Amino acid sequence: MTHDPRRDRLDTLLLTEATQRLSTAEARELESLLADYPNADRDLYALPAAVADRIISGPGEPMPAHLAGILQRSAAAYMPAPPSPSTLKSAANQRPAWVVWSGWAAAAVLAAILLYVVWPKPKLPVLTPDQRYELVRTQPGTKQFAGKDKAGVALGEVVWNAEKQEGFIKVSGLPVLDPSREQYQLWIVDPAQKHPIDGGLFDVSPDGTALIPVKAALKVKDAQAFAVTRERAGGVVVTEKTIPEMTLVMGLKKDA
Amino acid sequence: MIDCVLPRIAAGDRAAVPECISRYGGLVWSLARRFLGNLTDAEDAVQDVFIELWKNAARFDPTRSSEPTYITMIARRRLIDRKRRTARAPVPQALSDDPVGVPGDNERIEIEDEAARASAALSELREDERRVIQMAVYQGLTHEEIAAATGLPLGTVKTHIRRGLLRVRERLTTGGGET
Repeated sequence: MTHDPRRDRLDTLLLTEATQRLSTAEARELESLLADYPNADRDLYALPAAVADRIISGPGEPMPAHLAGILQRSAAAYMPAPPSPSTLKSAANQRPAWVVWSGWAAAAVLAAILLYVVWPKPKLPVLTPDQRYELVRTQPGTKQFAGKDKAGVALGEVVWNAEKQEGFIKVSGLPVLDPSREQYQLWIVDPAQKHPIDGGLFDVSPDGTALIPVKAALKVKDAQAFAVTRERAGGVVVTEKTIPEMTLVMGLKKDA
Repeated sequence: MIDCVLPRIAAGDRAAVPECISRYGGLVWSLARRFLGNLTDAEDAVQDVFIELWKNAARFDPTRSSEPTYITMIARRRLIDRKRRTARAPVPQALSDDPVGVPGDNERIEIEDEAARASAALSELREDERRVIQMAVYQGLTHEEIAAATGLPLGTVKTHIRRGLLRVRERLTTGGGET
């Protein structure tokens, strides 16, 4: 059997990642090796480490109730859209009736209890992306960011409300990419973080436009700027692009 | 196997949200408290973990692990990263609020079944190997810190961790899979 030092290095990095933080260079190296070894198991060591952790740590302590309310609200912003009624009906038909009804009953009771305790406001009506953009833009405390590419062809605007951790990006004039190879990735520059925060992946329409919600991977404390980069399909954890290499950089609008 | 909640989250079922928080809020909170100590940091970290769960619930594969183990793995990744960034030592603090998120009986049975197999694997390790695993996994020490604390060569520390985790992994794989 041929010895493969790069495979050994991948194994070492997976072992390190399971128990301690990788450096930025190591994280990049790991992503690169995983791309080269698509059959490698990313969770080879992380999964047994998680089980071992639970064995050693034993029963946990309960979470504060107020935190449950915060988590409940974050779910609405980050979860996939609920299925259409016809999809729900189709899925329900594939399960025994008692499973469906008991599941719905339990969920309804739990939902009712938590809604009563923590739900902050009535559910908003369904709005178009344009309407949601305007809604965020006109909220108190919302900041607006804007920028162009070097050629002045592509434009980007972001509205971001720090209190609600909610925002939208609107772009135009961007080249259409092959989403199986490359995607645009949004980044949020926050001095509280060492690296820009991942704000989500997006593709543009055939006319080069997109209007999508900002999906911050971490809580954003103080957004100073937003940037868009071209990354490989699926995105990256930390962008390697320097500011001149970024597709768009959007700074705070002075008149905002 | 108990009914998994993450597939329902992945399908956009909003009714699954309070159930997910109720089942796993305590688990994630406890991990965050142990890794970070500071209450504010722990609350921020718990939010990060759940945001990742809301966004990536579809990645959970029930044939590879139980749901609580998967969530523990996701939480550990986030917390390890945050702990190194903030570089603060854990400081025990009193609870600030009414509690939620205590595991139910069914959940505990599933957890215990998986844990029993992993525990058996750990018990087969030598004492020094078990100690190294505990320092790496539970105390969150770096491999270099473990080497300094135990006097073992760095290579031996890594070998102990690799061997121990693979032993657990094998036991989980060959022990009949998930219940």
